[in-house]
Amino acid sequence: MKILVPIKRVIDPSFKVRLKPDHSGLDMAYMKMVMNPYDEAALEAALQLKEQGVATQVLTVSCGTDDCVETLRTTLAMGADEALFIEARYAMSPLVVARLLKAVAVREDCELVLIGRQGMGNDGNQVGPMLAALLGWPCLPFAEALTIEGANVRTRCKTDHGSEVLEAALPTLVVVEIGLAAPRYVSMPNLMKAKKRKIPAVAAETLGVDMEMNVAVAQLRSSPERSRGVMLPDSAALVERLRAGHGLFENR
Amino acid sequence: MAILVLAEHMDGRLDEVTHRAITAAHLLGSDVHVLVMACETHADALSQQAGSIDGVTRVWCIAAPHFEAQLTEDIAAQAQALLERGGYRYALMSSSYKGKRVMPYLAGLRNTDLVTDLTKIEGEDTFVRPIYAGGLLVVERLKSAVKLLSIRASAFPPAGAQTQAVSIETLPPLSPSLTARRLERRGKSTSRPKLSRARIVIGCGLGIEKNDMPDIEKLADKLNAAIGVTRAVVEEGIVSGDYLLGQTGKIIAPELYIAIGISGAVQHLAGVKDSKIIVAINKDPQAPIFQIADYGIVGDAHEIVPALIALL
Repeated sequence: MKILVPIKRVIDPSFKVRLKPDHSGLDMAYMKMVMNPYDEAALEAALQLKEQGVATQVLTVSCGTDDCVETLRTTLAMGADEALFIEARYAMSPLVVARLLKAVAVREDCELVLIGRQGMGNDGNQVGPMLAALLGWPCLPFAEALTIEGANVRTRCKTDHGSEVLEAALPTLVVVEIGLAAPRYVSMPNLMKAKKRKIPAVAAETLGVDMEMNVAVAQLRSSPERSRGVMLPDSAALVERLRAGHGLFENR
Repeated sequence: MAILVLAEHMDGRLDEVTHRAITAAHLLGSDVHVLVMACETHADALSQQAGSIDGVTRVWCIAAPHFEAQLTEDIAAQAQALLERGGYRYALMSSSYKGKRVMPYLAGLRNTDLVTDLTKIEGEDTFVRPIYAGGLLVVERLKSAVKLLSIRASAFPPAGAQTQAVSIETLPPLSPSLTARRLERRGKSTSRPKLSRARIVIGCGLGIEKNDMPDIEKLADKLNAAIGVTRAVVEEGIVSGDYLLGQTGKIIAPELYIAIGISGAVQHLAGVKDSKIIVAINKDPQAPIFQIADYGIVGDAHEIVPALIALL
């Protein structure tokens, strides 16, 4: 069984992102790029399934500019068998990304897709369920635990009211929560080996999918910031302020 | 042209997020329909609840045993069938966990893009949503004929009640997709209000240890507050991920947020910065949380929490 793990390259979530002075885009100076932490968890879960003998092969794929190759190299160093780079010259909407990923999943005969819940930063939460729908596969969303027995995929999923256990037969798609698997460290020898590997590249336009998007970014804005308030000496002063100034705790 | 709101519910009760989605729907137009998909036991009661929300003009009620599990594939396929009948300009629900799985799946079925987790409607096709942990806002324009949206519930107040009768129409269910099964459901049993709707929320960071939790719970009970935590607290195993606040957890906007022992990483602030009043209690006067707090106390939570309990 072959697992497809889509990988997004994102700005390190610990960095504070700013706009360029003319608001035309993000100010990328001094920004560090990393593998999306959700996708890292998805990849780790896929590698563990391979080590358990459940999966035979793990394929990673990333869409975007040339820099994605560096992130894909890290996936090889972690233990992915193959990586595929889909080259795109412009930012694509989640739907176009999902169409490209569908083309890869079908072409590569993948039976399981493990995909991070959201790309840190854009926080869209879209591509996973969208891809499942395009493939006509079930979507096991927000998995915190995952087991596969035979052709049955079982996940414990986060819900608004707690959790639930879902089961579906392969082929299926699992949307991964960040806590599903703690990613392994990349060893120096593995990184050196991965550096020598050639990562195949394919132009997005050649995958035969509709590249038309029906959503567009009209504008980027800075978020209004909260200003620093008042320091108080103790809890009595705090309770007094909240009671008198804001009418809180009135009916107690 | 009408607006379709997909109802969210559990055990026969409509979730408050649906009241909030109806408020958002009303900003888009006046003909607001609610689609209730539920098992036979609850479908009628849920439809009545939906019909009594202010601004709702029609309720579609679809009852079938397989809706008990509320699987993504079944819900999305049924909504798609209704949208295919025509007459709708928008379909929306909240960006809850359920909305996060159903709306993009529905978009995939319709082969269209969507806008998720929007906080503001600026025009019939123009929507604002926060990105980069709320550090930036992106304005997106959606060109599809039927626009699919999910709204951040905390950005819209819940719609009130109406007394006039609304037509409740039943529709036949599609057959179940049968591709996935739900084997088990676990709910949280707590007497405290839910994080998403509590007026007061107490947030705990690594300045809090496991043996401080009884005091925190006592304070929460005094204030009828919900408890939320940072990722570090979840990773320490002090509480489960259900209580996680922030970019990777729940996003809230209560009247009062009390951050105890929280330093204030951007990922955490993303989940709480829209709170009306923020109070920070931290030993470290340099903690970033003080930069955004309305009121701050530098001090030891082990002393301040019991003092607060005594005062309230």
